[in-house]
Amino acid sequence: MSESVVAEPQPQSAQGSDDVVLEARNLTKTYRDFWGRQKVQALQALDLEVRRGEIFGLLGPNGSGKTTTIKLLLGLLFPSSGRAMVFGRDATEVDKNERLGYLPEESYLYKFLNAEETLDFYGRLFNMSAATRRQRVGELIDLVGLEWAKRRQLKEYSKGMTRRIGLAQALINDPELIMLDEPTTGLDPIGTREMKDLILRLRDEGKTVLLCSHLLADVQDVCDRIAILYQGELKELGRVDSLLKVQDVTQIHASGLSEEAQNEIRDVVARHGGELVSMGNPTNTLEELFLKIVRESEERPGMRATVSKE
Amino acid sequence: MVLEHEIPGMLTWVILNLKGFLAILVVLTVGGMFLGFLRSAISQGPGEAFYAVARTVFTAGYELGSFSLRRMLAMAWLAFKESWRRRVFVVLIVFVAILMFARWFLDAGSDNPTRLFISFVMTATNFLMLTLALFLSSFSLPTDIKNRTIYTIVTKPVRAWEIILGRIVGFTAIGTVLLAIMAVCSYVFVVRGVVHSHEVAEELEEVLDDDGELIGWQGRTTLDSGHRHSFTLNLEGVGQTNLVQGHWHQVERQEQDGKVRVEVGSPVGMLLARVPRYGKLRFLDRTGVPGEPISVGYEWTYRGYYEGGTLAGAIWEFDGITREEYPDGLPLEMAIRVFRTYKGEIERGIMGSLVVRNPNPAKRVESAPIYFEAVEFSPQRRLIPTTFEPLESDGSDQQTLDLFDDLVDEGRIEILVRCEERAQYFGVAQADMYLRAGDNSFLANFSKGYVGIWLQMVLVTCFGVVFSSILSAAVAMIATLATIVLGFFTDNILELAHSVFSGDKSVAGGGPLEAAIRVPNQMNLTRKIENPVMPFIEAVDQGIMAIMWCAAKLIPDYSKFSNISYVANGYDIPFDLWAQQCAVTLIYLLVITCIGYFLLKTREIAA
Repeated sequence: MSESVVAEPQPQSAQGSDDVVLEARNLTKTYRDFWGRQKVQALQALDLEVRRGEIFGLLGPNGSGKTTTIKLLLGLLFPSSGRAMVFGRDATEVDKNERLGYLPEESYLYKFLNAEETLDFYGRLFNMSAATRRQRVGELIDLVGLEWAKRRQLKEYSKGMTRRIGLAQALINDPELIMLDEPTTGLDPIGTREMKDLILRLRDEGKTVLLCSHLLADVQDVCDRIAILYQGELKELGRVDSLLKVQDVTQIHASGLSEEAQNEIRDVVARHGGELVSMGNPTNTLEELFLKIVRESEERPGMRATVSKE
Repeated sequence: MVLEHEIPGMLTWVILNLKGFLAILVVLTVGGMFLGFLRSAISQGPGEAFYAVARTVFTAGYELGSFSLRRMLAMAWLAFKESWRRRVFVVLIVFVAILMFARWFLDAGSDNPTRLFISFVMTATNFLMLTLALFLSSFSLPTDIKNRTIYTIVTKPVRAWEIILGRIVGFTAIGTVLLAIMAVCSYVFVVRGVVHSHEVAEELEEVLDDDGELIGWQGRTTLDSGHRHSFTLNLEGVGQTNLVQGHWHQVERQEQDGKVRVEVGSPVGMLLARVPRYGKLRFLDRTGVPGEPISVGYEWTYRGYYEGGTLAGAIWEFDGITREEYPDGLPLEMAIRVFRTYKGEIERGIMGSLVVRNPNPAKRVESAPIYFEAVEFSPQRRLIPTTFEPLESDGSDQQTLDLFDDLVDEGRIEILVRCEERAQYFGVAQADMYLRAGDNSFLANFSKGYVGIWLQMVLVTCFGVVFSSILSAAVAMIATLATIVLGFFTDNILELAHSVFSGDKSVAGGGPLEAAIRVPNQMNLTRKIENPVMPFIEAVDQGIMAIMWCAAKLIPDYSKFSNISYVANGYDIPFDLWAQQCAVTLIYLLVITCIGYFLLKTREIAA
């Protein structure tokens, strides 16, 4: 095994799909009981592509299949049908993990280890040399701001601290693709802001981020594209800015105009002139969109939502 | 000591078992692939299933190729750390507590205190270690899966091989540390328990010869550790005590400034590791021709009995005898059982004779009989001298016989043992007589005995880890416990299975279902059950025993790993036995790791 932390991107046969990092094709997951009877249809024929360098958000109410999707993409679950592909390879292949970082819903870490031991342990799972590990562990502890608590056992950590160390372990291998399951839960407002900044910074470094959350404000702030899931079905998929744009409405902001001038504006606008301070479409908040989709889905189950697409 | 099965040489053993091993391997491989195919075929159809099986096998090979020692050791370190955090050292406290109270119950005055002490500590260690291994190994992975800490492990590039093997290595490491500490405690306990000293009990008594000349002294020691010795000293004031509880002491009398001091040394022969060299045993019947021994009614047919005062005898043939190896003669040790048909003089042993013979019938040369009194239960030493006086009745031209020139033929020699008293019987087994080639270090042998326990611990850990990779903690523990119980009774199960299949009733009482009918009805074991459903019951029993037979064949025979009787009886553990135990463990480790790999790999971790 090579000592390198980051595996080189592998050459792919199909040049066109080069920048597709994550792909779900007709991905379906049905939970069955012991006798093979269907219990829950957790995910239904999901088609999804996440491209290199974007921040992709999976949205949905509780039990909508977000975490199932992530687990399928990680190979923690096997699809009932369809395929989950990571870096163009099957998600159950272990090799993909070399270039991947995962922060689970709750930080499932060994409580009897301290921060340094935890990161060192995960570093060893990447076959890093002792020197690399020392350096990397130091960097990451600095990054998540746990220098003061690095010798304490994780069982003494608060939720937010556990979250931070969880993030650090997800970044130990300097991954190309980072999957974050509810990254901001348990963090205080400052921690949340830091987490969001970090996600954006990772994107700027050319990394791909897949996050799932039901904290809509967070998603709206950082995601480039989102998919909205409801009861295991994909309801909406597209760029955040275009999804939230209200197409047939224009909004104008202006200041310092007299009454006449304001009256005149209408003419000016009618003749496409004037000094506009801002002009554009008003946006919904993501919350409005989300609630609308959920309402529509409840009214007409099984249909793709009719909100405008990318 | 009892040696029911001869230990084959390593090479013979490999040849003997290779076919069975390969057969099991093929069955496991094919069976495993078929089960995988079946499972996959149900959900995805046969075509896809075939592809899935092929891919799994291919992936396994690939992942084995990219095995990393560092990752495996990281997993092992985690398992070690986790076990330590679970306070495994409590076992040590329990162990020390057992040792502290054991002294109240272990009788130092028993016939063989060494055997008692050693078998006690080793058995206690064995059971504690197996219990520990059972709990540690079967709880760990399920806890990881339940706490979902496994999510952060399997999303790293760690292979299932490394997870399984890492667990096994980690638990083995912690077990090794604990076992080593227990071994040291045990050794101290045994040595402290059996090593003792005596004082001289009373004034020495002068021994005079017929002319009233002083030829030495005799005396008795004090009663210590439940026994006392008597001793005689020669004119130089040096002598040995008699043999009590298998040991003796050196005694020395010193006169200084008119004061007499007698010193009794430390015990000799208590902590031994005798290296026996066994011969081949055959019997002569009462007319002096080769035949079978007779039964005196014991159910245990380990020893063969033959009648005294007849031509019946037991012949051991030893080979590889050279003058260079035994320049002082043959150091023979024997323990011969006696079956008395009348009481006789109960204080005195039954007389026997021992004749050394040349095995070559062309040179039918034999020594004059050496007479001895049979001593049961503890081996009796007897040095076969290098020269023998000629037999008087055999004509006058006989010369003095030389042991190696006249009685050894191509390194082979025969020793014939007869019982000399009419209507009394000697009972012997092959291991009851041997040449004591030398002694090994007791400490080394004691350590080897603990290696036997260590190997059992490794096996239990393997089973625990593998079961826990698909079962929940409690179920995995019960399954592992079942392998231990089954493993200790392998021979009985195979015997019963054979009896049930062949219908020969060699094991009375029948299979499990039949026994379940006999027990509540209080029927005796041999009475035929008159019931029309009996063929059905027998068929079910055959089915159950078929499964049990398979299980017994697959599960390690733990009783074969116990070296306790060797250490306790003071015999060196033969290298072949030891090597076979190690080989079996290694094979199980490899095969079980493979099984564990496939179980973990095909398991949906997050389901």
